[in-house]
Amino acid sequence: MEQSNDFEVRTLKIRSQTLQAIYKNRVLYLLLLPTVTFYVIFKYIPIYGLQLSFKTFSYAKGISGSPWVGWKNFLFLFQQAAFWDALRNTIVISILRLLFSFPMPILLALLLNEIRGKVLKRSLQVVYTFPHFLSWVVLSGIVLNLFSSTGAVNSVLMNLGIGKVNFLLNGKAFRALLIYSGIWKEAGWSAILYAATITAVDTSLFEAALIDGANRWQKIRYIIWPELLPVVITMMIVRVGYLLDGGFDQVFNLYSSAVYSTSDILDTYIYRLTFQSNAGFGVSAAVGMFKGITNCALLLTANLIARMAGQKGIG
Amino acid sequence: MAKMHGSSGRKGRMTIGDVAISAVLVLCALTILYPFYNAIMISIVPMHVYVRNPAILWPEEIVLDSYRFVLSYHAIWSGLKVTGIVTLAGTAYNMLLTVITAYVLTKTFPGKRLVQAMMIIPLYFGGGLVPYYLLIRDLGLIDSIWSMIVPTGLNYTYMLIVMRYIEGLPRELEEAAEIDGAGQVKKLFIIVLPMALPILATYTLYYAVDRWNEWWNGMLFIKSAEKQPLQLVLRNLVQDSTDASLDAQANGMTESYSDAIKMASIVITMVPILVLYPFLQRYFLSDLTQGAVKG
Amino acid sequence: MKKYLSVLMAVLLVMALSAPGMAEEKTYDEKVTFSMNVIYTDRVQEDARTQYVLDKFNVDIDFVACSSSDYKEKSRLWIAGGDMPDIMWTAYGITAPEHIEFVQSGLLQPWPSLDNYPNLKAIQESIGTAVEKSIEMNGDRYYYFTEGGYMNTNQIRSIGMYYRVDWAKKLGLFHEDHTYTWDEMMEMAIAFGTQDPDGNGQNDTTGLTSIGNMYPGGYGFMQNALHFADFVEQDGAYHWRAGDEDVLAALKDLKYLYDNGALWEEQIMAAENDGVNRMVSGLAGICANNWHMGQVEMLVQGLRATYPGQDVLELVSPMRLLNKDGSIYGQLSDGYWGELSISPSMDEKALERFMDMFEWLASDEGFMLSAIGLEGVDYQYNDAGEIEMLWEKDENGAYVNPYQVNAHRFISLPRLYEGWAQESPASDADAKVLGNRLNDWIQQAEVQKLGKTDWNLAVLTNETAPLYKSLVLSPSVNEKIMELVLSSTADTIEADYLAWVESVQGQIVPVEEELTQVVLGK
Repeated sequence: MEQSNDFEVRTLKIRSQTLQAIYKNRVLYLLLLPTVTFYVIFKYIPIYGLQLSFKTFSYAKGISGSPWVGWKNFLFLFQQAAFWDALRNTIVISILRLLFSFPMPILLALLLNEIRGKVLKRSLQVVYTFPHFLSWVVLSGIVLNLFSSTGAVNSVLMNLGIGKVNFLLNGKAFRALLIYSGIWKEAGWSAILYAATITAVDTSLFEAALIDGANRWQKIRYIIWPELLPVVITMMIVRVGYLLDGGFDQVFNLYSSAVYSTSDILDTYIYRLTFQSNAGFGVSAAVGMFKGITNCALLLTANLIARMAGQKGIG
Repeated sequence: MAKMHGSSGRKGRMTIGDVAISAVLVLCALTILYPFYNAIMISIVPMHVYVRNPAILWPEEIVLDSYRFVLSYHAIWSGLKVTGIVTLAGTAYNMLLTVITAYVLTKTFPGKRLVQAMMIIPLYFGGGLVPYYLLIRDLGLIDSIWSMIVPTGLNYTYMLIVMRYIEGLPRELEEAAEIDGAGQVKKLFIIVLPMALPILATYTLYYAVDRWNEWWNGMLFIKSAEKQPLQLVLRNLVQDSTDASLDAQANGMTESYSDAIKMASIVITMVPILVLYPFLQRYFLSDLTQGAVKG
Repeated sequence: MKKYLSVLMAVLLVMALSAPGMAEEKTYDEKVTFSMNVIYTDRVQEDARTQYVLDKFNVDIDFVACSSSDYKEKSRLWIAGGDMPDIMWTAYGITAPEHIEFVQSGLLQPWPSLDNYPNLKAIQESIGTAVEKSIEMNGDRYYYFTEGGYMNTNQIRSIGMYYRVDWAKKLGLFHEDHTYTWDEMMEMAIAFGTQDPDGNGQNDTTGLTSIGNMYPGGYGFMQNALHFADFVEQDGAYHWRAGDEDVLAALKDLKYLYDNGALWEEQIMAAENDGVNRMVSGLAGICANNWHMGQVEMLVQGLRATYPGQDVLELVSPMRLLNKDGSIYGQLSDGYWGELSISPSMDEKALERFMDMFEWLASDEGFMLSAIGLEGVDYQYNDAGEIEMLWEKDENGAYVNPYQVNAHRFISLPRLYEGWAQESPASDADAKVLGNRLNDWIQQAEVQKLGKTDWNLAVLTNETAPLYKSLVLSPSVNEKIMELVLSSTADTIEADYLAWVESVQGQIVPVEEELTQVVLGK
């Protein structure tokens, strides 16, 4: 009798504590209202469309009225060789980006930090961040032109005696072009974040290091790097959550059927399925569902690992 | 006096390391600039010059027909206007949502986990194109410029970084304000905001770029030709550049050809950025370095 | 009595005057608005001819923007979203499975009976099969087909190759009668690609090129391996042609061309007209295309700009190309390009006005609008009733067309003027010479190899042939060929290709069986 009383009392206490907390923070909830409204309307209302992955879309009956077909769409999908190719390519490209594109901005920020001339530093920053402003719609015109078999790059390669490389049509070369052009476009811009973190480092630490006679590399390793690490980890976790994305805008504007085998990613595959085939909206919804679940699982795993290693995850 | 606190720390003496690093960075900068230089070259030389040597380093002959054509293509101007509005309004809207949300999430309150989950789930699961279209239609946003603004909301990654930054700010000022009886809103706008200026400036620019480059929503929802955003106009121009060159030739601008027209339109859309960027970067890059001095 | 008589007279007079047929023209006092999608939207909107028609019928059209590259995506989205324009234009062809589904799902309004619109009716009847199939669906007509304009050419498209006459002469390969066998054409392509025919000391010329969607089909597959990617009725059953002997032979030929430097490598990535552009710029020696007058004019005018002062007829000519079996290739046109459908929510009054306007556009007067332009402004009739052009001429003696390219996409909706362009006074004189030359060869060929649409397959529904309708071959035959040409070697390409054909048999055989059962009733 005593016990249950205790329990009830405790629950009541907790509930009233919670209510008190809610009341105390009421302004916060008000502030959040626009954001929550946005999410509910634009992100959660359309989610009913997810059911299409288990249906065959009928124009006449709309989404709600279309007939259920169970796992048929997924089975159909898993029988398509192009689906597995797209999946494999997406993973490979994401890993390549993680290996090559991810470290570049960090390296760049570190190197830029070493430049002492104000004018030089500023000019370099302007140049490096410039390509980020342009969309792939625009940049693809330039890239496709430069790297075509009659373009400037091959013209230079020929003059150097190396011979032509078929960047646009050879699967492997095209994938390398994707990574390289991605770095070219974004490294400078992504570096800003790291540069901002570096400049936030306490200058007194540097002065102390100077007195102690530390060289350049020691300063980077013992002062700058610990400051950067949390940001790097956060960005890396976020990256892992996008493993199955691969960069639609870039690939879509640059690719052609010659390079599907190495560079068709899930999103471009979905695009073709949706708009250029008879497979129907149900199948493309199934791919989306597959992507979502897998990405989610990856994110949770990455977050867990980071937590266990003592770093803050993304909450 | 802004301190340069590069890792070498000393002023005056340049080491070999310094020179090497500078050289590497300058070389990379040149490779970044070269494609744009090449694009400009292509847009101003006649076709036979381009065809002979695509890696044009110095133009033998300059011909401005392609620019005359593109500039007289009025869709570029209406596209510019539309994109300008979308960028200004969109960025303001994005930043407002971002800053408020980031600030609130640095506090503890019941349901915080729920809110975070609410924002993470849509990163992975979306309803797809058809429900999205139906939603926009039901909201009456079809063929409205707002269809390119309102659905953009906030970017979770950006918001996350802003939130971390705010978390890392010193608490004293905020606590002092609290003692003085300031409410959350006052704290946010009067105390926290000024301190977070560097990061806010950075992400304002991130959002502005995203809005400037918008074409997907435009393609799906815009029906009137005058309301198409610049990137969409460009996309159509580049894809239809052959027809464009035929028109140009028919109208006496005989030296233009489809590659030149593509490059001319690309160069033209880069001009607003080229013009604005030197001014803008002064603000946010210097704020970053100043933050270091203060801290 | 007199009073009654005069009243009666008055009444009779009024009746007579207001009887239909007495009035010369309907007047359109009430303005009508409706929406419609059209490609090249801004050009259409600015065009003086469009404005003329809108004013004449007191219509305000809300043109919905779409481009030639995204109208397919958009139209599916519009229909799925219940948001289609009042009049919707698409160019899938009746063979698109969605088109049948749209009708069966009640998503479209049937067209009013064309008995009241004789011009429109005549055009549709000239198209024949496609239209009949459209009507069969429900007994009502759901699509109006833009007539493709091959009236003068027995509906056979002018698909063929043009080549650089001066280059052929220079390399000693020229035939006076422009007649070449398939092997001779291949050797010429290789020579053009490798022997520096323009004599500039640089290896920058291509042999064979084409408009985007004719690769690889137009490089021997259409001509020597008809219907190479389709299901075809053979020996009483349906059979997928992709693995047949002649297809393999064409594949090897294509590989041969590629390996010996005859092809433009980036053809596979080319936007539609890039290939023709190369010929215009003097970078390609042979171009395969559907050479209707618009394309020929583009070639001729472009060549004049690239080679000022030279006679175009000395530079280029169509090729009388003999297939391996001595035939000449032709493709029987379905007779149409693009179709119009009506939204169920279109206002009745607006629809009626649209029909009147459309009927006028289909008349001779309306036809002249898209074929040349406005009477009194662009042309006039002289005393003998012949057409006199009022346009200015440029330094080459060709007329300067004041209208933007593709701005006619609205006014030419009842009927494209492709065939008539071969006789039109507005057309370029040199272009007419060349265009008619190829046309005559195709028409007069003793043996023709004609590609044509199999209408039995075209109008199968999702219910009767679900496997066929949902067949997604990844990759398609075209893509596989393009990929293998780039990545295989001459020795292994046949084996690689056959391996792929074998690997997709699991999807193919059920379709073959289904078609045999459904179409042939076995």
